[in-house]
Amino acid sequence: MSIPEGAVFGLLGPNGAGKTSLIRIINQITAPDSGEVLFRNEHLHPKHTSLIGYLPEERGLYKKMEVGEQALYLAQLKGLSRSEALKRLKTWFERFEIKSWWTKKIEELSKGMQQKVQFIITVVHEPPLLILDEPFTGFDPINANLIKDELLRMKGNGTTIALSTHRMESVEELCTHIALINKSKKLLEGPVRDVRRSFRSNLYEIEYEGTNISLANSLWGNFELLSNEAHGDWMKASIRINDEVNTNALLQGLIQNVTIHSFREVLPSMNDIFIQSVTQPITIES
Amino acid sequence: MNKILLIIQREYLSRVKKKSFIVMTILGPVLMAALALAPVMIANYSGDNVSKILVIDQNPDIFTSTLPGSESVVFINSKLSLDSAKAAFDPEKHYGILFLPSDMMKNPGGAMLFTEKQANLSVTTYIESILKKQIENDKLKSAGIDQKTLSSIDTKVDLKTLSLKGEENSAELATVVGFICGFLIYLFIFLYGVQVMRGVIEEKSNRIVEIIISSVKPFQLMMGKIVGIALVGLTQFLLWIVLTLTLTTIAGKVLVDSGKDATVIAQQMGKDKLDPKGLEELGANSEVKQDMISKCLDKCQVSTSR
Repeated sequence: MSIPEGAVFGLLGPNGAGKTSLIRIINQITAPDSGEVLFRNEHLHPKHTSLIGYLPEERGLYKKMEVGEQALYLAQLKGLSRSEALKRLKTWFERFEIKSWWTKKIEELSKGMQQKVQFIITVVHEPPLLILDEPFTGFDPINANLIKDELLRMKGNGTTIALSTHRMESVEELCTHIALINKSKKLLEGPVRDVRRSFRSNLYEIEYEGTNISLANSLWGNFELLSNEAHGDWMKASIRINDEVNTNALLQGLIQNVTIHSFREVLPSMNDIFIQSVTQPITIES
Repeated sequence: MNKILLIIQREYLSRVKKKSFIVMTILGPVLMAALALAPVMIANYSGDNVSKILVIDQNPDIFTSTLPGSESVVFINSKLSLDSAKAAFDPEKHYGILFLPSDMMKNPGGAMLFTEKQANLSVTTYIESILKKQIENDKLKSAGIDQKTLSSIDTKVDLKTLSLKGEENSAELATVVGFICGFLIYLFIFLYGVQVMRGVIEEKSNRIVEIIISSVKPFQLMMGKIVGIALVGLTQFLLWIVLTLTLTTIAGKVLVDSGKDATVIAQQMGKDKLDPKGLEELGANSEVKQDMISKCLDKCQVSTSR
């Protein structure tokens, strides 16, 4: 699989699929049994560690160490000079409004607070590639949004973000590309829109004003009416049309008989795709 | 290399700043001094209690005179039989009853010491050595060798060891120093090796190891940890040496100034007798030295007269 530069890449898969193992290989924590990892067309090398920011799923810091001292130490291990690390950390601490935590020990902070510190430590050296394993675990909705906004800001600055998550709504919200793996095999890979389209089932949702008969008259025989219910003054119908039907021609027919308020294709959600792919393995690659 | 230095710095500073390090560094020399002084103090303390022992001798031809006592053991001859002595025994007055059978010369193992409680090791050792000496003397006498002849035969050889340049050296001292250093090396490797292991366990249980290993090579982490902790050990060792020397000097001066028995210091130094060189090592001035030597000589004379 490949992670395009500048993308937000979602690494998806059920528990035990091998997501964390793959992330550890990319971070050079463990070595692969086979295969190879290229970073900007170079074989992965220890020099690349300073170009990667890694937030592991199992978070941890030195409990007895002060927050500021620890952040400085880990930032320096990523290749920053002490003065540069100090400058950047101060900016981050101000942005997250946690300046008062600088001299506190990690064990004095709550889990969520520790996660915030850990996030800062992960991104302080401004790596071009950011790898986040379950980044939203342990955050309350406010802090989860804060992290999400920061990720989007970094994406805007050109950072490539690879994240592993089980939260499909985060995938739809953040990811531009995904790869779905199961039992260490890749099931799907590609831009989110293409993946969703590859799972399209010609399902459309129409909101209209008119009668059932006038709707049926305009669709001819190339459809299957799945539901048709009243929603206030309007009607809402779900239809599945045949592959050969042109949606523009369909709309032209509909307009003559009913008043259309909305017409949209219903693409499967990432959740549906995840469940479908994992329970019924397929080999679609966009 | 820079990353190893960073890890060394963290490992070193995080440990040196700990309260336990400061406490142990201060307490270490105190404990060592206590270990060195405890035997002397215990010996002095037990010296105050004199054990009076009733001697029932069934062979008065051999043990005609009272057995020679010491500072802590005194022998009192008794005419009573063993049974009546046992019946009349008062633990407030006497420590025990020493029974010497009539065939003592043929069967030295027949001697028996009766005490109310468990017999003190120093007392039994002293009695054994006195009886052995007495029997040996009697045997020598019966073989026609008197004490004077024996004393003239008794020879002590002290081998002086010198380097080729003529400097005096001591093989015993070198062995002792070597043994102490070997023991310290063992102790330090053991103590600080455990610290390295605890450090690794801490990082594993804190789960920070994943973050560090994604930043540095495992070799760098381990090397930084080992060197950092070794430096902590060396710092502590150095401080212990300095503090021990300071404490010993202060304690020595306090003891000398208060006119305490000079032999205490000599025993502390692991020597049987005081010599001027030993006193110089203690930093005593010439007046104090003279005073201590005279005290020591007095003491020797008292022991001889006894």
